[in-house]
Amino acid sequence: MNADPVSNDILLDVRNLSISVENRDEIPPLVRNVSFHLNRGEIVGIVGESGSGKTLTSLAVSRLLPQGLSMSADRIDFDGHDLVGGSDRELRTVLGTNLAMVFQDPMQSLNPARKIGAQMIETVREHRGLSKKEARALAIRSLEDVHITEPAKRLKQYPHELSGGMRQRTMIAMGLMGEPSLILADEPTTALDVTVQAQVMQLLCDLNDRKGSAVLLISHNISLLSEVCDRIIVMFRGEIVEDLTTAKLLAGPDHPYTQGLIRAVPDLNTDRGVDLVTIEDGQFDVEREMNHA
Amino acid sequence: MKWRRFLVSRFVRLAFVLVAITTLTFLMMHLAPGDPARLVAGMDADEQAVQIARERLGLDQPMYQQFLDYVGGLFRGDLGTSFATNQPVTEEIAQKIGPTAQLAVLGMALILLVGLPMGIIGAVLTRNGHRWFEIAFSGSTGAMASIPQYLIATFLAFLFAVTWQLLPVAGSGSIEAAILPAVAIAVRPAASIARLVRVRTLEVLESPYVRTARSKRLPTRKLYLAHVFPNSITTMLAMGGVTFASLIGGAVIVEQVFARLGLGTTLVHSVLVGDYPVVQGIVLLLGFAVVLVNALVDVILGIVDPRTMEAGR
Repeated sequence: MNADPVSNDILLDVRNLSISVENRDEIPPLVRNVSFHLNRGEIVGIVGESGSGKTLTSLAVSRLLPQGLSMSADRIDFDGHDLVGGSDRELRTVLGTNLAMVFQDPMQSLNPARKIGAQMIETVREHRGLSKKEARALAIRSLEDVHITEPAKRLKQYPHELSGGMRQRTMIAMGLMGEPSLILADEPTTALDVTVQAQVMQLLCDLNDRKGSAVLLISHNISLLSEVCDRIIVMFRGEIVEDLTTAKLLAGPDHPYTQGLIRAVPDLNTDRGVDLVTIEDGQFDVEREMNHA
Repeated sequence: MKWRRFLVSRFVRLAFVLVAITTLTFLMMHLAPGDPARLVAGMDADEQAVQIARERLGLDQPMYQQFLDYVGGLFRGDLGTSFATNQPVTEEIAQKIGPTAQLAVLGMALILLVGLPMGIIGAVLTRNGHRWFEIAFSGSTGAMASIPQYLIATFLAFLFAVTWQLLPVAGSGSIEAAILPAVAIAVRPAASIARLVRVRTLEVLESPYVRTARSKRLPTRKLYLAHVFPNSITTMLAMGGVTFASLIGGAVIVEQVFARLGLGTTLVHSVLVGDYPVVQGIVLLLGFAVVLVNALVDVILGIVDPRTMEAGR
């Protein structure tokens, strides 16, 4: 967490990121003073319950915060580019290519009115100046990379002609077009069924392995993250409560909230006769007050 | 293959609607009160003259026979003969269709060129948080969508033709004379379309796929043209058929206000004098036009958004 920020290994460095609702001072910030970093080629997970601010954090990093929210940060540095001070114009190419976004709902995240091919090639056509032919060849290779069969045919299809798992893999392939140094995946498997989930996670790991892209994986499922991540950041009510290696997490986390999250995930040995563990609202308030008094 | 099935299904549906329109216009005219034979023979003609007229017009035949004759005529392109002028109905329509077609085309163009951009710009401004704009937009389009067309027509004529004398007040000879009537029929549908398109575009702008497109950092123009526009026009297209129908309805009234010698004026006149064949012919033609436009809209929708092809079967 305190790695040297000038080191070449650091791909993404976020310092004191806060996100709040514009013009509504009475609402406390949704994300408070979040600091973390990501090394090149690393797979890091952000875990937390709904509303913990993990998605907003990822949207802020990618400069895609919805209207009405504003962010402030001492520093967000991505691949040598200043994402806080820089203008959209300066950052267009780097964000359009070096950063690949994979969103939660593959059914809704591809444009229903456009063919897969047209959606895949536009990034490299725009930012790399590739010809249509070159871009199509790249798109076919990219679809092969994510193990989609008959890639040439897929380019001519519409999203509704593909299954959910295929669409999510297509999203990933679309992100790969720009040869990203970071893949930012927000609940990439939540909308998919379990077997397809495993395929998509495996794919992200493979790509990390083969292409060296770092992956920032956001999920509410801590056991899913602990299977693939090098490091896990735990968020709770807009703050980071813990940032620890997966090994340490498996050995036993320090923070009671993290312990709660682990207990809340059922496994094969969970007693079916007993209600699942839940994290009650207010259960950790005392804890928070202690840390931030 | 998909296209063939789609087109066949639309064609079958089209055929059914056309049969229904033909039957209904025929029944409508024959069930309406009044005796056309009396009208043709003249108000003070004796009973015998009326009977002769009735036989000449074929009105003494049983209804089904009349219907078969009528349908048979349709296949030969014969819509009957006007009671009032003794001219073939096709001839009557050919003479009057020009001003109405001009009005419909101009009106439709106005609706698309004004309503669609207004809706999209409205959505973008709303999303960018211009609260005052949202209120002004909803208020003004709401008002425009609720004013009856004859009022708009009268108002426009008074302002532009009488007070400022910028445009001709009536007639159907020149293109200038078509401007005010076209605006008069376009205001309402354009306002409704702008409202619909705004709401739809707002939805599209908040959709996950537009967020995906934003993450690609395309130029704004490309984002809107390639990702937002194709999804927001589907609503407008789906409305296109209904809009065209209301346009035709509006034309009938507005032609009266501006004294244009079109199908609308002829239709109203023929209803008043009981000229059944002409009324039937015009209603049939307008009905066909509306149905055909709707079928065309379906095909265009199928091209723009292929999912509708599968859903609508």
